[in-house]
Amino acid sequence: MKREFPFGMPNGWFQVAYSDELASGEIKKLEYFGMALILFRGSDGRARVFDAFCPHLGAHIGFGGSVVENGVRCPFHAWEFDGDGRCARIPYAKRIPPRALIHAWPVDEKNGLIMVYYDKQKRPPPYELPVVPEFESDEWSDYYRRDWIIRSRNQELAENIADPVHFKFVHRTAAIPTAKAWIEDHVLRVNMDYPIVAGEQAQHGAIDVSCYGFGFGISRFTGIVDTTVVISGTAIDDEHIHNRLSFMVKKRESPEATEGLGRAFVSEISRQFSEDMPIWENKTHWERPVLCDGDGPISVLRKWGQQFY
Amino acid sequence: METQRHPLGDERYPFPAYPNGWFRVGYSGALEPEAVEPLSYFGRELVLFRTAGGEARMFDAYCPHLGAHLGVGGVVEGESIRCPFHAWRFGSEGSCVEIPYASRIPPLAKLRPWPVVEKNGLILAHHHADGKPPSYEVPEVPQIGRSGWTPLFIKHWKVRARWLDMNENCVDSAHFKYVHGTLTIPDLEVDVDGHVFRTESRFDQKAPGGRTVQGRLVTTDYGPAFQTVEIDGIIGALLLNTSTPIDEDYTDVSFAYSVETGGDPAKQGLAQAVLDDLVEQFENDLPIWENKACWKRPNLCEADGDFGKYRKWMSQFF
Repeated sequence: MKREFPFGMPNGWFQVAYSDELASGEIKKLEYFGMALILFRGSDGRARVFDAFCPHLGAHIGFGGSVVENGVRCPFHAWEFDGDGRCARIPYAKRIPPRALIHAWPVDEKNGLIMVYYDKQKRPPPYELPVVPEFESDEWSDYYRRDWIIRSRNQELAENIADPVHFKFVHRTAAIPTAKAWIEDHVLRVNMDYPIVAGEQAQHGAIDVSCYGFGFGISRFTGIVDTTVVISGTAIDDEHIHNRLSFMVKKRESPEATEGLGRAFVSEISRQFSEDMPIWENKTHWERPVLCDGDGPISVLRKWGQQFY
Repeated sequence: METQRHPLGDERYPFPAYPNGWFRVGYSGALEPEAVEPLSYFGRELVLFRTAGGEARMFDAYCPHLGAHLGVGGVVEGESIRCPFHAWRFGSEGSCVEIPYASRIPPLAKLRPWPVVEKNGLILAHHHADGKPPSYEVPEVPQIGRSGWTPLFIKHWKVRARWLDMNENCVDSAHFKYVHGTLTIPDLEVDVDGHVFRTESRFDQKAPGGRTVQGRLVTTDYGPAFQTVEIDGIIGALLLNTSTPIDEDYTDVSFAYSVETGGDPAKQGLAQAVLDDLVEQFENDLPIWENKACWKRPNLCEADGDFGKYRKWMSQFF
């Protein structure tokens, strides 16, 4: 049964691919934000994202189109568009119609990810994404990657982070973590502290999360081992999200040890995801949830989230 | 299964999708103690469960806390059900009775309970658009469980039609000949008594082997969604017809069949043939129901059955 959600898709920066998935001269088809899009890399090396449909007679440029310099050529009548989406050449016409434009979406390629700024009204991005220092650093591994398609929305996945209580009942942690959340303009920071039972010693772990809008988050786990995950959930349509996790671990004494740790970390987070998914995929969204005095800072997250709709 | 809207879409029906009354939401034998089942009926998500003590209960599915679906991962504990998300526990009337990590239970922490009864091997829930309590009861059907009658054989269909399209059948004398192949158009008698609508039809039919026999069909509707069909003819048969609206377009129809063999093993073959035939007859009706329009004022001829009486009786349920 279709579940009502009052807000639609949020504005923000969202991952559409990894940098290494797009070679120079390559063109790919995307379906995100309920739209058909194309992703390509021009001769200047920059990744670009355009609406897929040619403004001429509507051909989908991702099917049979090609990259020409920093733009694309439509397979239907060979109209060529430059890197800004403006028609630069029509081989059989004298004049280029002024409205021959494809919408070019803002793209930021950083941290090994290709990010697109989606805005319902097509406004430019009001903020930039940060550099993730671990990605650049030799002390940290390359990305271990996992992705899921989940019948849910950005809002639901984000609320997880401000919901320490569910860790006990859904993920069966020994105790409920303590959590604090605070807003820094477009950034939401969450700090969670929780006991880890490691052998006989009682230890503490911490998770520090920074969410730059709904589509880009960095979670840093400290305690037993240092691990970092870059999370990006991108709406496919108003009911589904493509969630990508890019894990990094601090390098250990040997590549095998690093690999072992990386795989264990991915495996653990993936397990948690599989526990969350049946809830995400079947729940509804209450505009006025009945919260209790033991709940975490969900209200802070909801207040922060409003700016993106 | 791909669902496709009827071409008339929202304009198809001049009456509501969800009448008031008792509706089948499950089968007693299929819901074990502590079982939890998600349901989609009346355009809503619901959770059906059986307490440790054996009571069947049904609530609206979505937890009032943060909206988790109790039917997916919810757990029965004694007489209550616990939400899988944050372990809020709800008692038999739907009120939250425990939050393991809070000192106070918010007063709005409630799930809406539905009235539920178990009868005739069915779990029935009462739907009322304004939340009013039941105005009638569903009867015990004498043939069910009686010796000499076969155990209920149940068939389900998801039908792209609403309750009225299907239940109106009982006064539609002419269709018995043209859809179901009776030799004559039945003589029809109709009797209305409050929430009960009874018809009796007599007709000629062909028996296996070729001879003509007299058939008699009695239908009794108790409210909009619970109908018994008693057939005399080749062999005594009972259909228990319960239809539950899934959403605006689709209905979950269940026919439960029983045949009177008197315990005679020689009659098993005949019983099976009659059952197969009855199932086939439903499938004769199906393409008509799924594709028809529903006229507010049908153009009836003088030989048609008493649709007017049926529709007048039906209107009490909405």
